[in-house]
Amino acid sequence: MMVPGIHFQKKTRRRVLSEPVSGQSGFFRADMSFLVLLFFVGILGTHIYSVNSNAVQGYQVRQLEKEIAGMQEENARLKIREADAKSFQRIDEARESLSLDQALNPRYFEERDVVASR
Amino acid sequence: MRIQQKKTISKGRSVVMLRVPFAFVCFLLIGTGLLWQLYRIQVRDHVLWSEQAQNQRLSTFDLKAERGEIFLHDNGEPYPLAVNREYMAVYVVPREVRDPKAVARELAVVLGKDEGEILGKLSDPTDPFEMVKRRLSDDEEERIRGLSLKGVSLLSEKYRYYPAGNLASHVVGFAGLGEQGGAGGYGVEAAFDSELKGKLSRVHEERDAGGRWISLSNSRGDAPDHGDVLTLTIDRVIQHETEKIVREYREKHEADAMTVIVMEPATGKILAMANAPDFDPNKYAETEDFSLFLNPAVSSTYESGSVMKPITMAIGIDEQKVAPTTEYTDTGSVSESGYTVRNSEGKVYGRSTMTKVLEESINTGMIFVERSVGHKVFAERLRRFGFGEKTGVRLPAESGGNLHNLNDFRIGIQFYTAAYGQGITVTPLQIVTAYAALANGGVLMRPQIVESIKHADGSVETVEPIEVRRVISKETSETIGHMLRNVVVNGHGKRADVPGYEVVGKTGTAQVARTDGGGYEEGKTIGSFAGYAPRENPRFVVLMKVDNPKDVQWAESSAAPAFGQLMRFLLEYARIEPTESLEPLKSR
Repeated sequence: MMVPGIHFQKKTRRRVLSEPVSGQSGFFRADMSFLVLLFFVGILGTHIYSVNSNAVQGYQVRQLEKEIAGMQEENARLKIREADAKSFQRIDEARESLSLDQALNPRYFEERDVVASR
Repeated sequence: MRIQQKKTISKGRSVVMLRVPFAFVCFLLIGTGLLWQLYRIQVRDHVLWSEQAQNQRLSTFDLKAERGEIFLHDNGEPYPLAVNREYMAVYVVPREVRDPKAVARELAVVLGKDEGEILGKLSDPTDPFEMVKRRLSDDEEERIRGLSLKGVSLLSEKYRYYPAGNLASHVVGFAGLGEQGGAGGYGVEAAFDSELKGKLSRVHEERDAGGRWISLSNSRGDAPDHGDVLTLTIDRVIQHETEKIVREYREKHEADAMTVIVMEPATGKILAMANAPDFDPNKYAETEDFSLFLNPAVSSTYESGSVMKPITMAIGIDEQKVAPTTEYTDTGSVSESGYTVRNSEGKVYGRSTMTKVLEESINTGMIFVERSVGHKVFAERLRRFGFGEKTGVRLPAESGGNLHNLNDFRIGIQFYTAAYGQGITVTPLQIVTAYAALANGGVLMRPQIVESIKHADGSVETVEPIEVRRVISKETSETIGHMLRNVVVNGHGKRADVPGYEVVGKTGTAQVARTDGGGYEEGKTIGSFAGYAPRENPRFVVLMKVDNPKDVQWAESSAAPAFGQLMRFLLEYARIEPTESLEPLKSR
């Protein structure tokens, strides 16, 4: 029935993408998109992990370098202490404090001496 | 009604239609503004902002170069003679100290300093820093840490340290550490300063807002070039024994000073160089007399006296003007140009061979040799032996001696006195180098003090011996060796002998020139003994010099016995087999 002043429009129904079209499954399409997304997320994640790992290793290397430097310093300190201990000045002082006599005229025996070998 | 509804709908639609373009224009303007800002920051002013960002992140600092260390030989192992040692220094932050009196009292007890002095440093409550004491001992450092005083902290500083103390002090000299590897004063520290100090480097790093280093950033910079490490030719044990003998004989004869040099004749390597008085390089700042730092072995010149006679004799023999059996007649004196030269103690020897001339140290005999050679040749040959010029040893302040008296050939008396070692000045190093040439077959070697240099990259450079020139033939060298053996066996050098070995050498008792005019000091002498052993294939050449001994006059009583004691040690230390029959050692 036609009512003056009122126009009717024929409704058309839109087709949804997910509706199957001649033989293709909607689930397959959803799965593909998800996989692609997952792939790119994976790549990104791996990259971030790699960068972070390198950064951490960099700090570890720096820490090890500090430890090596510390050990080298300690080594140098010990060598100086060794040199101090071996110094003739210290040995002479120790000899005096222990009241040891200095050998002034040592006599040396020849190696061929029969008496010395018995 | 329909027309009215149509008009209402049209009016509404017009208003709506106006808002859309208006919004569009607004968004367009904002968008344009944003785009313009992006363009301005990222394209037009990219360089400026990029640099500013980098400057905020970039941190630059210098890496100091470590000063190279110096080592001696010690039975195949290197012994450190000069090292860089870390010492702690204690400082106070007065504005953090709550009870200055208590802190000053505690520190004074530990550090052995005046309490008032420390309290003075704590007087300003706004002061951020005051140094209290540097170079703490291990005990002091431990006690300061144990106190845990607020406002008192420790600071690490590096100093040059000499573990052996006075050992070879004139050879090594001393150095202070600074920004670029320090600076050396005297000795090897000064002579090799450019090699020892190294080169600092600059490092550029990126840091975040908190000042932390960004590990993935681009760091630029190289490791610093640390200074070269030197190993000297000096043997620690020989140096120590030499210094011990120097101290002993200087004290015994109350000598003003002593100098001893031990050299390897085949290579010119200096195995020991000892002077007395000496100094402790760790305490050089406490020494008031700076002349003590000069190395008399290379810097001080003197008239050598009769130790020059073997050189003159070698020249005469090499020129084939005289031979060991050449004879002349000694009348006890020679006159020339109004001057008269006499033998020692006015002795007259009559008919004498050249061998006897050396044995008895006859002055007129040396004049005979010099006359036979001629002034010009004598002066030239003396210069070829290295006198009158520096030896080239790499030690600072080396003197070349003075042969100016031999420039005018008309003044014969100067040549006569030079023939027996007076009237010309030489250094101890020149004497021992010349004797090394007599010992090694006639080749003058350049004295060498550094054995090897280890560079920062790990490569090692060995310093090779340098032959300067041939000064006499091998035959002359052998002949002189035999003649000098006679001096030790039959002449004035008996007390220099070592039983079981062929020790050769010559005494010299020289007058000391006056510093305030012409002539010589009354009662002052310099006693020397120069020699080498074993005669065949000599391993050591030694000069023993005693300045102004108080209790004896002649070198045969001062320098010769000291030489003998040292040479005995050297031959036994080097495990050289005796070549003559062993006799029981007699106490000297």
